[in-house]
Amino acid sequence: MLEQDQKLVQDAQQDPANFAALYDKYFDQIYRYVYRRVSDKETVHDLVSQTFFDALSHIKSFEWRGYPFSSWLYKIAHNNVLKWYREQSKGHNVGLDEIGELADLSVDQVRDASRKEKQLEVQKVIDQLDHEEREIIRLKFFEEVSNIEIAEIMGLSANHIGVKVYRTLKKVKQLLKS
Amino acid sequence: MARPAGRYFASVITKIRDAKKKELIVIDDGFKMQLRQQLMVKIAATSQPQKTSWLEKLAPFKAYLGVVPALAFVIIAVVGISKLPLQFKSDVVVPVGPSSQQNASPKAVVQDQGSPSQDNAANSSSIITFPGRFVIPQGKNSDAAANLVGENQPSSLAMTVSDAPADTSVQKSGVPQDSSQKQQTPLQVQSSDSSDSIGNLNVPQQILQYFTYQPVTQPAPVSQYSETAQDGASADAGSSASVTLAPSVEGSAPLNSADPSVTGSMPSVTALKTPADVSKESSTALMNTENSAGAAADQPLKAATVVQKSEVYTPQRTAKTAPKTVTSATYSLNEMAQLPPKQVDLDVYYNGSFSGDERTVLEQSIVPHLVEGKDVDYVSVYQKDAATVVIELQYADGKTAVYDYKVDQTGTLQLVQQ
Repeated sequence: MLEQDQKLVQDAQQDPANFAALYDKYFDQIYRYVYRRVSDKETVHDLVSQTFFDALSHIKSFEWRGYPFSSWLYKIAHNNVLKWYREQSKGHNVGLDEIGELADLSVDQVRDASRKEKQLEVQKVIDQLDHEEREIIRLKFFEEVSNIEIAEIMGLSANHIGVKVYRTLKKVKQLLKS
Repeated sequence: MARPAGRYFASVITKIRDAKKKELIVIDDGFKMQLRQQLMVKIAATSQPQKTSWLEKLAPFKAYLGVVPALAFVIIAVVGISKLPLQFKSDVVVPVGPSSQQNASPKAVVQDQGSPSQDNAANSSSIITFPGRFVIPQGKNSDAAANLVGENQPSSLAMTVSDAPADTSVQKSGVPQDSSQKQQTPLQVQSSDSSDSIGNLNVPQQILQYFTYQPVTQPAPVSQYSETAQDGASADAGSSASVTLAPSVEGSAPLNSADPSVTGSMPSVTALKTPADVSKESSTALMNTENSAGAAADQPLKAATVVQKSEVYTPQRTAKTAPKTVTSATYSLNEMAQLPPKQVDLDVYYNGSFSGDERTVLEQSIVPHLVEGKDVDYVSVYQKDAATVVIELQYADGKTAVYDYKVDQTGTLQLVQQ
């Protein structure tokens, strides 16, 4: 898996035309990741497009560290989503945690009716978590990314991510009980 | 602490994964294909200019761009240095030896300018040859030239009697002298035949006469030359002054005889000889100078001690081995002045205390004959030691000819080595 990723990345670095293979492999993952963060279809398209264009522009500067290439794409997408939320909250001095709240609020606002109907109890609990906890739960259990990759994406240490996963699950369990 | 994947969180994790499965996210394939095309267009758009951009082609050489100014600076510096009047040239002989007058020896210093005489090689021990020296170009004044010639040179050409080293010690009669000592002792031969040339040089002997020198502490005025030269007896009567240079070895007395009469006097008549002559005659012809040097040790030589002699003298013991009699003539400065001087448009640089008369003699009598028929750029005259004057001809083609002239106690220049 990693070797295949490395080969694709090397090919893309030598010839950008080979970037299409990486695009085909990781488009669905990135699209779902962004869609879970931003329900607005046009915004999702914009953010996904921006993510892949950024990846193409910086593919030559990518350094292989032994992580899957998807981690790098998740990180770009994560930063683009945060940037989009900052632009949405322009004029308001909000922190990252508040951005997470705004994001969830935005998600709630644009979520279509059918999806609201199918919204499960778990989703409600997740929405009650703070921004960082939601991001960890989504990456860990929805994107199925390892703690090391989450640490790479969020710029934290792997041990710190492990502790946060534990605390978040404990918090979700308490919320589910209540 | 419970593990996230353990039983404690199993129910929570199960619920989260069930929620993921029930999640409905429809991927817009149309958008996917459209975005793919956009990426390909961008890839094509960005890769095309890369092939034609000359800046991109020069990117690998960006590191060398910084070298260009440095290289230009170096070139300018080299060109500037090359235009300086000082140049290094090879085949240069620089004397290394006694730096003071007390240690200076009137040995015939031999430079490696091509002397076939093996005896002369014995005297080359005080010479170190190294490839490089300053060459004084035209246009530099004599002061600059003086600074550029070897630092070990004595500051004055003047020599006192006390400077006479042990090398010139007297050999008692009948005692043979080794070749090195023979060379170190100038042969005194008198002759009226002044037409002989020295070696293969075009320098007549008469122009090599009487290079008078003065003591450092007693520079002689120019007029002193004419006065003493006109009055030949003044030299003989020099005992009344501070110096006595009596011609006590004149006449038929053999050179190798230890004549007590020479005690306290210096030979006033000297002869010129070539290195070949030195090798031929020095085996037998010796001059007693020890006593005279010792007696006159406290008396500096008086300038312009000139005696006009024209007797022919043949050493007794050299008649068999050296059938050719070396002749020479001694002229006073007045006579030298009467010689047809040659005016040569040539720069002569001096390093040392050369008086005006000495320079006149050099420039009008010696140097013109040395440079006659040769393409010489300039001439450097300097003192190798207290008793050796070196005339160096710098040819236009860069070559150098060095003539060593030994100044004996009477102030006569003898060509020692070419």
